[in-house]
Amino acid sequence: MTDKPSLRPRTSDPPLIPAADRYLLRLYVSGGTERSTRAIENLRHVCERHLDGRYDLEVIDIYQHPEAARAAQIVAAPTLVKATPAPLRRIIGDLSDQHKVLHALNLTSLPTPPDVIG
Amino acid sequence: MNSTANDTSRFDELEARLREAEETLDAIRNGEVDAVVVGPADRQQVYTLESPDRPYRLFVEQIQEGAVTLSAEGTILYCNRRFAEMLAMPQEQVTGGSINRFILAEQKGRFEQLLDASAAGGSREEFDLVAGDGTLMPAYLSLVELAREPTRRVCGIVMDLTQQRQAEQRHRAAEESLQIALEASGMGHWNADLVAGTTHRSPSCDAIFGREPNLPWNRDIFIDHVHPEDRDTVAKRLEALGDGDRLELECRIRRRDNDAVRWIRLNGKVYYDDGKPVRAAGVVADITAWHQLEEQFHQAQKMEAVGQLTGGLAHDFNNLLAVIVSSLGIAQRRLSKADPTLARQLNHAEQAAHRGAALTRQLLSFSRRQSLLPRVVCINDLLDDLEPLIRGAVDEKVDVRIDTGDSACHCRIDPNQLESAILNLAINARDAMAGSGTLRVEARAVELSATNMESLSDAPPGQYVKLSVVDTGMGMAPEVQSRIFDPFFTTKEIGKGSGLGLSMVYGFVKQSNGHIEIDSEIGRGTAIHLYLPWAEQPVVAAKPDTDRLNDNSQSVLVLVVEDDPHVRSIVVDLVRDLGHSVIEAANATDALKAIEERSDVNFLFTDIVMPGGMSGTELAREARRRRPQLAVLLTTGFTTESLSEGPNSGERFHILQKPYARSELVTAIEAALAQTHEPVSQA
Repeated sequence: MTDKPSLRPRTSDPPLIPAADRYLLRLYVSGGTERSTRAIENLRHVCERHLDGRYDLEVIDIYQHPEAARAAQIVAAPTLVKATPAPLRRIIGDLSDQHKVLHALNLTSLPTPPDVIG
Repeated sequence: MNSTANDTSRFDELEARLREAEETLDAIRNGEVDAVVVGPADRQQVYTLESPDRPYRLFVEQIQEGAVTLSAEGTILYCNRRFAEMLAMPQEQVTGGSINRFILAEQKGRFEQLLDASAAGGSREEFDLVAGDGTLMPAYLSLVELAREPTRRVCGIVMDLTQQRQAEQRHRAAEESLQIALEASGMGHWNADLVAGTTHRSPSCDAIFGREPNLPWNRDIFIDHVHPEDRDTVAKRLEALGDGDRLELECRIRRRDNDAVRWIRLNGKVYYDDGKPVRAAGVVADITAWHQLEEQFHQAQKMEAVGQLTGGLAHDFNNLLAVIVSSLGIAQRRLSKADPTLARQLNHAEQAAHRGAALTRQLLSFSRRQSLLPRVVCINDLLDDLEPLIRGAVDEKVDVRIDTGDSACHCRIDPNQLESAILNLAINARDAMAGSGTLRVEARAVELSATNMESLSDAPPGQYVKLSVVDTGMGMAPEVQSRIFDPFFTTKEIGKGSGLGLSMVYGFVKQSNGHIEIDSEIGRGTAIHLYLPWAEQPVVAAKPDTDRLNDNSQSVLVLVVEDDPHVRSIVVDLVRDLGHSVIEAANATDALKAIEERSDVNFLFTDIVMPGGMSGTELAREARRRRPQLAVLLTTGFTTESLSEGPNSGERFHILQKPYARSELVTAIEAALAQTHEPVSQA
């Protein structure tokens, strides 16, 4: 790990007000653990490449909001829930398998752009 | 059939496995397990559900500062509740987003540097974060890169500085208020570290000492500024200060920039540590003006006391002179013509008594108890009329300039007394110039306000006529200036001056509700400024007509009231000698009784100051009430006005100043009789 990635904050961030026909994604994580933080990064990569500007992402820490985890019937973290558009889908893990994620998000019909080395 | 049976058993098996999976999930969801086994078959790990890092996790979750973990790209991978609260946003919307959206545009470059520096042992700095509602929040960011992580992670603590900034602002505002207050009161503040030998001073502190700012300061330098005569005292006072003692001293200093001697007051405190003075702090003020006022006040008090003394003395002396003058007058008239030598000697004695009377008048004028005949006078006209007299009084080589300005100045004042005051000042100016120079006599209307009255301690604000007599003579030292109004103080040779001239001027001006200012410097000359109360120009100048009344023109019965039997018998003789009938009384009660008993009393001649509770003025008022046509003449050794005013409008009485000559008594009786026919003008 000699060459570290640059720490440049990116400019494209989700707008704060969700719209009706947008993707609403909820990612349930367990604090700042390794898999949880990796899941956030992986999900952001996917969203920015395939859903640019058409999604709202909520990251919920099940430690700090156990009531939210119970309401969503979360058994493990990280778990990604696609709340809208229907049907509701869940996917467990750090989201490193991009195809699995795209399948769950119902985005497999779209051509997959070449991956970017992160 | 077979395949159907197979399908059925396969379906049952799947159903059983699904049930098993759901039961397993339910058991985990319902918390029926303590640990789970995860990982591929060859590297399986046991995860206990209550892990030992729980206390650390709770610490980060509940700490009252914002806690945040950032990815290499600045994505917020974790934040605690407090961080989201600071930014006024839901926590789930903060996590997963970029930190960049909370950084102010102009601070983004600085934030990137902070992120880069976090790798090298951490970095910290203040920022203004943009909260979700658009408000700016001052915050302290402390970032550090997490060690031993497979991918780069930066974690940070964010402290809200809002309250601290508000406290700083309040502190700054308080300090500014203090600064404004100190500067408004002309004070400077200072703070000395006695161990390091350093000082902190406000700019006004340096200004008081006439020093450039930022020069070194210490105790010895301060002592060096102190006036040589005060140095020992000041040094001893500083030496004697113990722990927590209040320092309070007044001393003179010499300003560094112009060498001027100023009075300062130093207030402060000294702090000790371990038996040694370590710190001193306080304020300093220039109190020169205050000191001058105090000196003026003392001067005024002294003059008042001397005035009381001389006034009382002159009053008694006048009573004696009244007896002498009257007796001499009567003796002279009864003297047979055959003895010219005795007549001449009596004449000498009478002249000497009149000189004595003139001297007591001077004393009375200083003690502000002389009779004044104030009327509204145009100062411009008065100075024009006086110019030949002034020129005559000074040497020909002296350049006399009279300047009355363009506008007419009026005062309500006794013109004769003012003329002699101006002549007095002109003669002093002549003597100060020793033969040649310039003498200026100026009159100007001025307005004294509360701000320009520093040197005129007791003058109420208002409009005045400023009459200045300015010479280019030798000037006066401060110690001479402080005594020039003292009676019998003179710098002239013995026999050249009485020492009463300026005392008279002082007394006259004060009695006229005016004020005097001296401006003099050795070698540069002297200016004496008289501030006389300004008056409106009179519309009509009334002129009382007394010509039609002559000596013995009426048959008069005079009631003489006088407590001193010697004076009374002289007065009775004198009045009788004028051809009037006389009855007498020793006090007011007897006098009123006499008026009741004798309806033919038509003239009251009474002393003002009498024992027994009722003064001559009160007696006159009561007698006039009972008998409105009664002529009244008052007499006294000291009076303040030549007409004493009663409580009713128009009720004024003539006053005859003691001692008086026969002719003066005749005139006064005539005037008093005239008043009963024609009321005295109130102008």
